[in-house]
Amino acid sequence: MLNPLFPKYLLAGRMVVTVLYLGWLSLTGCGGGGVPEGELRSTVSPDRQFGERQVGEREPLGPSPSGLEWGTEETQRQVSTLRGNIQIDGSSTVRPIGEAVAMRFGRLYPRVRVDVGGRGTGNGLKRFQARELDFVHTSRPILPNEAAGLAEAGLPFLELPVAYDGVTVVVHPHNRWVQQLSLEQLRRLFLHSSGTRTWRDVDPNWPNQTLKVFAPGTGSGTYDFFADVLGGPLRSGMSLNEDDNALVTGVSGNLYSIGFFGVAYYNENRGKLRAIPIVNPETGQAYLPERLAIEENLYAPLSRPLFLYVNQQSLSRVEVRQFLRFYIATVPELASKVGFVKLPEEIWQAVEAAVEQPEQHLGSRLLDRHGQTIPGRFEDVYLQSPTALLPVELPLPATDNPAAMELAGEQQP
Amino acid sequence: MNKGLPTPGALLQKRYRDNGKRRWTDRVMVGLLATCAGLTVAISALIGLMLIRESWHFFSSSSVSLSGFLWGTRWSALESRSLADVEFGIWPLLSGTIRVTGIAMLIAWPLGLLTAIYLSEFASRRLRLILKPVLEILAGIPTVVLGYFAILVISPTLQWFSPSFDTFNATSAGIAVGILCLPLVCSLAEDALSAVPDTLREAVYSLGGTRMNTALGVVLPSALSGVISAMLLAFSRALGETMVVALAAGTLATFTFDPRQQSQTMTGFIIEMLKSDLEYGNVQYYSLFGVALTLFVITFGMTMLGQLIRRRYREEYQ
Repeated sequence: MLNPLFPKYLLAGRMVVTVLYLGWLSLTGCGGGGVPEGELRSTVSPDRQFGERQVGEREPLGPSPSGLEWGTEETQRQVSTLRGNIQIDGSSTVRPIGEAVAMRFGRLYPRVRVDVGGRGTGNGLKRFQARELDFVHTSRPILPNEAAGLAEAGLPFLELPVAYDGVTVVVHPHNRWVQQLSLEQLRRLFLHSSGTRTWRDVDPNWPNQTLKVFAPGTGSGTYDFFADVLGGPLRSGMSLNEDDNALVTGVSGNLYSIGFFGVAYYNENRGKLRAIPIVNPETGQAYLPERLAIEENLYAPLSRPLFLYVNQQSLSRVEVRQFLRFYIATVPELASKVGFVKLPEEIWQAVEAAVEQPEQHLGSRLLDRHGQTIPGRFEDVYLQSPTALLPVELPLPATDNPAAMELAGEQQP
Repeated sequence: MNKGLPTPGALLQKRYRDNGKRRWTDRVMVGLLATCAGLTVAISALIGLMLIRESWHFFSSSSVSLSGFLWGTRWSALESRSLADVEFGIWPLLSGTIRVTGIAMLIAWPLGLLTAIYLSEFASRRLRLILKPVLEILAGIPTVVLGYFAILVISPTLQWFSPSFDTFNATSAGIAVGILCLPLVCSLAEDALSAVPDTLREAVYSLGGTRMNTALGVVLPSALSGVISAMLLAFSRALGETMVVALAAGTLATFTFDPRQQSQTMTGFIIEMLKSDLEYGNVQYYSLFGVALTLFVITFGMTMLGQLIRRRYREEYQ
């Protein structure tokens, strides 16, 4: 009945001993059974028991070293047991930076889960106001009504510019007729008021083919920025998509298409797209969105700063503080890796100071005491406001914005 | 009772005497079953009510007119944040849905039906044992995967034939939805064909008919009601398909019959609206319920039509 090869002792009185032996094997793990307990513990494994600490492991709350040292081959083995969950959302333009930082952070803090979303600046700020996020990426500064909304929600925030971006206008690689674009041509291509329908409508030398325009959705900061630079509502009949990868696919798939998005997505897809040099209205020369041009502010008017807004209340959590420090320490290197450009030294010093003492730098530096946007170049405005204003303190004037009106109404009595 | 056969144990142990307790249990059981059946009706009714209530916010808005909604040929709910610039005419979305569904049915109906006839009437037992599971695997492919298949494989192939195809176009989305519906048509139609009793087939053979005579002349007409309901079910499935069209059909609502262009469908629009930053509570947001109600009415109509056809062509065999 039984297989003759089946060991009979398993059925005999020794069965108890056998079961105990097998149980011991499974408890000590690996099935090999020969590894002494001490040896097992000394191998670094991210999924070991919580609370055990390796010899030479970095303290989870230890002082933060300079960013470049982190994540190298040697330090990779020294992982932390810090646990937590960090929520980031917002601009899909800034998302590649966030993802690069989160990936590197994950090597050192494998137990901290970092979710980086890309639903767009507007959506991100809405979730931020609903206290669903610890950080929000934006591709434009916070708007007065959004800051008022945060003030109303009693949500102090920290504003940190992280890198420069150049909004890149792209066409199909086989498009041979567009060599460069001036601001006037951009207006004819993208503005609603221009009324153009074909390429020939924009320039008589261009083909008589329908323009296929791909643009980020209306919830995107890039859409707002582009409309702002060109000075008017963008045309209707564009293919709008919040997902920049879908825009890349769209533009690269049709010879008569044109689109725009953050430079990082262009750099990632250089073979499939061609970036168009943009004529600087001051110098009259055309520049591509390359590092030097953006850094020297020659890629005007389409270069812009990208921001990270931090929920100050989240900073009471250790993992959030660690992540913020890590972010600021690594972002100059990682941002340029994905094609963005690092900020000038003096701005960077201000950012680092803000991260060191967040309590003293709450609010937006780009809004005045009345919660209105201060006009002028970003660099000048940012550096001239010595300390940022707490949005809660803003005495808001009566505006047509209902959130601001409500807030003003509350403060009057 | 026949003494030659042993009485089943279940009958011996049970005493079928009518008493109060038994009647009570009976009633509870029947009630439970009726509740389960009623639940599906209640859920459908609740969904309908919800759609009507939410879309009321849309239709009652002063910037929306019912005739503009029903006959308008421009849909730009996602193109601007100010209500004044937005037009709500359902036809671009409706024509997008019709284009994609039409192309899908051009693929799913003939292919599915022919496969079903082959499987039910011609294939050997062994071949059927291989083919049926393969079809079921096809039915198990996630729709996201099919959406990317459309973008990465079908679209470039179409563009290779003719560069006038957009990357996101109605044809590639339609083909992917057709692949999605193919196993549905096939397995339901095959069930209907197999249900035709063998006596009919034998009768044809005895009259000297070939297998082809049997399949097309007798079996298919006999199973017509089942075959048609399989087709209509696939049609409704294609109308409501979301993921494939959200990925592959594009985000531009176009009123055209050109299958090479982008064509946002009704379901695709609902997804894009949910993804957008337009706030809950404004008219553009509620427009998604107007679209959903339209879709619901169309699908409901198709189901009713299916019922009618099934009753009309029904043939019963003992």
